[in-house]
Amino acid sequence: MGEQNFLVNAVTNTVLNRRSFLKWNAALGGTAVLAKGGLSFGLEKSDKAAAQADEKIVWSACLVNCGSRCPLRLHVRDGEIVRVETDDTGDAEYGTHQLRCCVRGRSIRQRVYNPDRLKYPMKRVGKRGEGKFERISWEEAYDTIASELQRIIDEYGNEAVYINYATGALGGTVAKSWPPGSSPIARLMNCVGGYLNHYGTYSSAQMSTAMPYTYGSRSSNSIEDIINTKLVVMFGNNICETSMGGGGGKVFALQAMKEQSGAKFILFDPRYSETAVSVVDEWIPIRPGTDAALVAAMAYVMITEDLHDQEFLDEYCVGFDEDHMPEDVPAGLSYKSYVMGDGEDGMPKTPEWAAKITGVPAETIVRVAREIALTKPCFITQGLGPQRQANGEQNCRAIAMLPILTGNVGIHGGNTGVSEGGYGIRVMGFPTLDNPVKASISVFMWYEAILRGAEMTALADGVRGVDQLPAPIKFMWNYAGNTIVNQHSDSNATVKQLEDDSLCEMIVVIENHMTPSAKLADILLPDITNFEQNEITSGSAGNTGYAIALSQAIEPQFECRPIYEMCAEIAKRLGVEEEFTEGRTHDEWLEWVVEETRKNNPDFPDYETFREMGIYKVTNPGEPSVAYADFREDPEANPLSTPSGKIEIFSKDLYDIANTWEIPEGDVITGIPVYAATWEGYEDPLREKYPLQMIGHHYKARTHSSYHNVEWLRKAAPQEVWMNPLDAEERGLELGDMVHVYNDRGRLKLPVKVTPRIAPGVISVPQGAWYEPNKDGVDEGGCVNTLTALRPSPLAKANPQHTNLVQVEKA
Amino acid sequence: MGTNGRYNFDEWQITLTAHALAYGFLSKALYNEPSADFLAPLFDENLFAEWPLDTDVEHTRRGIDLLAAFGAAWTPDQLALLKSDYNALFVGAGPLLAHPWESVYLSEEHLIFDVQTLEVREIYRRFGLQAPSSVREPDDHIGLELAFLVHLCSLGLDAAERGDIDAFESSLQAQRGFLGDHVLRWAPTFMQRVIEHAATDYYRGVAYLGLGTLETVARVFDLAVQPVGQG
Repeated sequence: MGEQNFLVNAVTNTVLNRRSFLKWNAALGGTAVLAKGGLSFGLEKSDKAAAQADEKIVWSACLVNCGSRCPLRLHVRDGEIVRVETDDTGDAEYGTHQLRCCVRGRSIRQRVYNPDRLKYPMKRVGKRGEGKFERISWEEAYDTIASELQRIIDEYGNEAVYINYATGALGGTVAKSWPPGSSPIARLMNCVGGYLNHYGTYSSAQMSTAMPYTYGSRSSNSIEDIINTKLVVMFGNNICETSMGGGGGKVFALQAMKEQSGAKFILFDPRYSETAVSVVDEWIPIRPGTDAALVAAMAYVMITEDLHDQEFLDEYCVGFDEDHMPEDVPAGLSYKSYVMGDGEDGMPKTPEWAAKITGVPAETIVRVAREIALTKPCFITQGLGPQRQANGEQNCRAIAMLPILTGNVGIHGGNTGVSEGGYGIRVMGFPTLDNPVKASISVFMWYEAILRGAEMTALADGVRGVDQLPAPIKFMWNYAGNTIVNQHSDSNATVKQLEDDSLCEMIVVIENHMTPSAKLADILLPDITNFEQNEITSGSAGNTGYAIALSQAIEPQFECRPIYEMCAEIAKRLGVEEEFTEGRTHDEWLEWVVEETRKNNPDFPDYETFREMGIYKVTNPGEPSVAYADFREDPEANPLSTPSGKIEIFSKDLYDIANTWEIPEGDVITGIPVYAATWEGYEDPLREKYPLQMIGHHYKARTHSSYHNVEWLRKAAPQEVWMNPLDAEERGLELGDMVHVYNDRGRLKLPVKVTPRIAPGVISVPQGAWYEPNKDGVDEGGCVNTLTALRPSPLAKANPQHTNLVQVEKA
Repeated sequence: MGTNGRYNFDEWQITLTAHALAYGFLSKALYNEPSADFLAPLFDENLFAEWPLDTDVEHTRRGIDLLAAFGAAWTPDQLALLKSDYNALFVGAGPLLAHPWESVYLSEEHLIFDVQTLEVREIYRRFGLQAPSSVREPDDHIGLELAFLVHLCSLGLDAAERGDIDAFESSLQAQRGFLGDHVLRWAPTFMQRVIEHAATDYYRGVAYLGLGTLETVARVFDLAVQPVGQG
């Protein structure tokens, strides 16, 4: 035993006298240190004989806000996740395909087992936002929250309590943060008198507000209907990147539909996106915020060349020309008048006019307008980028004009111009009871409501449900969200306001990670992940609907607790535990949800079978869905839910809003969708100082700000600002140089990616990186929202995150 | 028991006793939140002047000096400062300054509850032990690994007292294996991080003492203090 040489050779050199031994032994707890039998402090006698020998495989899912809910199969050994796989059911054929997760889901261990995960309940010590916390007991945390909540309700009313938009735990059934009104926190609040609602989302507020004025809703054909088309025209639609996992199904669906239909794909986007790389035949770069000008010029080409579908416009639409306008509206307000220069501005929307604004050459506008009008059917769709602009409502309604002008609405292979849908399975939701509070603000306006809540009105600020808010926000719940700072606008100003704890008096953050938003917590509660509890999710992957029974893979870490238990404990302290729980545990609610689902859908498996299956998939048994097909078939019998029952190219409701609302200088609301030059748009004189338009594309490294703290992804897709070689050359910049991107709101420091994949004059800072100001206030995290504006869009009062002017210089 | 002709039991018993005390102190200091009950007796009598291991090791010396000086100036109102240092280093909220878990240093993805945690858990289990069940914390916490070394020292001392040479040698083999395969592969890097980031001379002193202790036991067990593995 050569290895035992150390026994012989040891130079122990130990000098330990009895006196020292006794002293140290006593100091360390006396006999416990060297007790007979060797049991020492720190460790316990084991109650398990041996390790669990075999790995088991547990079904789970990646539940973040990319639109996918990708299945994960977790290999669990001795109570820990040791490996991550994805769906292995089905095959490689579209329709029976495997729903394979993306690199984010595959790196999930780096979120679950992140050594910096939040582990214990904490309370703020020191100034709010300073990031100093002290560990407290759960009892103290619950007591503090319950008493502060009660105090604020007593003092200011339930309207002073707000549940912030949060999408970090999304897609589950009970443990979910979005929509906030369907979260356990909403249920808790509804047991104690309610809370201030919000409408819209940071993703799609302008579109969901604006499209119903045109169609009565924001419906679209399903993505699989591309099989029936000859031409696909996309505006700022980047689903191969934003929703790249198989659980979203968009990448495979697009590729399969392209192959099967042989359709040509054209994309208008300032950036040559991953979608452009994957499926697009022709990429046409366009300046941000100018889509409505492009569309108007295409309409000009179609009208002057008589390529538009006049019969469709006459029969199904209101407001195309002066012969089809509502009563009581002055002449010259129709879309045709606007386009031909017979309207208020007297400007014909020629391709040459639009070329100067959009950056798209006039001949390209003419060619594509003809191609769209002459290729039947044509599937026109848009992503959510064009609408996340200062004039986003105009952009999304304008893009919908192309299928309307060409009669592509309500038919197979056509579309409404709205982002595409898919086939899904409906799973019943967790009931959150009714909110007695009727007041509602735009999702983007909470910042204003903290500052001047009691002054905010329906006509000036888009308050709904009441004419005026009764109180400012004094208590904010933030469960699994990073929108307090990172995903809101103007991070510097937002943080500064929130640091004043005389305004919003209490911020409760429930999180897994120490996000920039979590730093602003007064009470910080460590949540468990969906891998530490059972859940149910459902989603749509093209023509395949599915539901997943997520089974708990591991025990909750440290002192992390489930959201349902937190809410139940707080409910108990507020005297509404019974109302909150109805005697059910989290898992019993899941069983209830499956039973309720089966009442409407008897084919849905029972709870136990479902849990054993892990994943339940259904391929669309019918044809791809077509939005407004019944309306197209018989508009009299099946009117749209617009006031006229028709497609409202001119919306009288919007026209009335324009005449009644208090609209800030520069904001444009009109009956028809027009190009409105905006603050910090291409035509703003501010461009002399800040010449570059900045957007913030969705990035593969993250889903919004989720997954930011995953090392693998940061290495694979580093945070860098995209810039065209022409702009880089002008500034003496080369690939990889550290640069400052700045405007009056703030300054970022990050490397530059010099690439022809972005239009000249436009830069993109991938959105979602965590805000990380250094001591000089320079954001070294590269969070795009350090530079974005707090000014809401005109109609939806929503986030204009892609409307920004900036300058770039070498750091 | 004297010598068995190959090595000296008496010397080994003293050594194991001294090691156990050193491990015991380090374990308690690094695992538990600081408390007056634990610290006051150490400071009042300046026990560090009677540190049980070789005090000629530079890092040990440094640790003793820092702790003696800190102890001499100690007043109970400094406890809040120590707690805040302990939280910033090992608890959070926020990125920890010195992660106290082995797998963060040695696993491919630098995570908690990773391969090393499972290995350590299995080793404890073979000795009929487990990490505290009251809280779900990784088994490879520095404080628990040191506590396990105390346990192995105890087993050796018991065996020596019984004259059970096989048990004695096997406990020392186990200790050597655990040190070489686990503790010495990461704990020095961990101690360095504490030295770099501690806000108080107390934790800096503890970490120096830890570093010196690891150097001493490595020499005794004829092991190298390995640099941290590359992930």
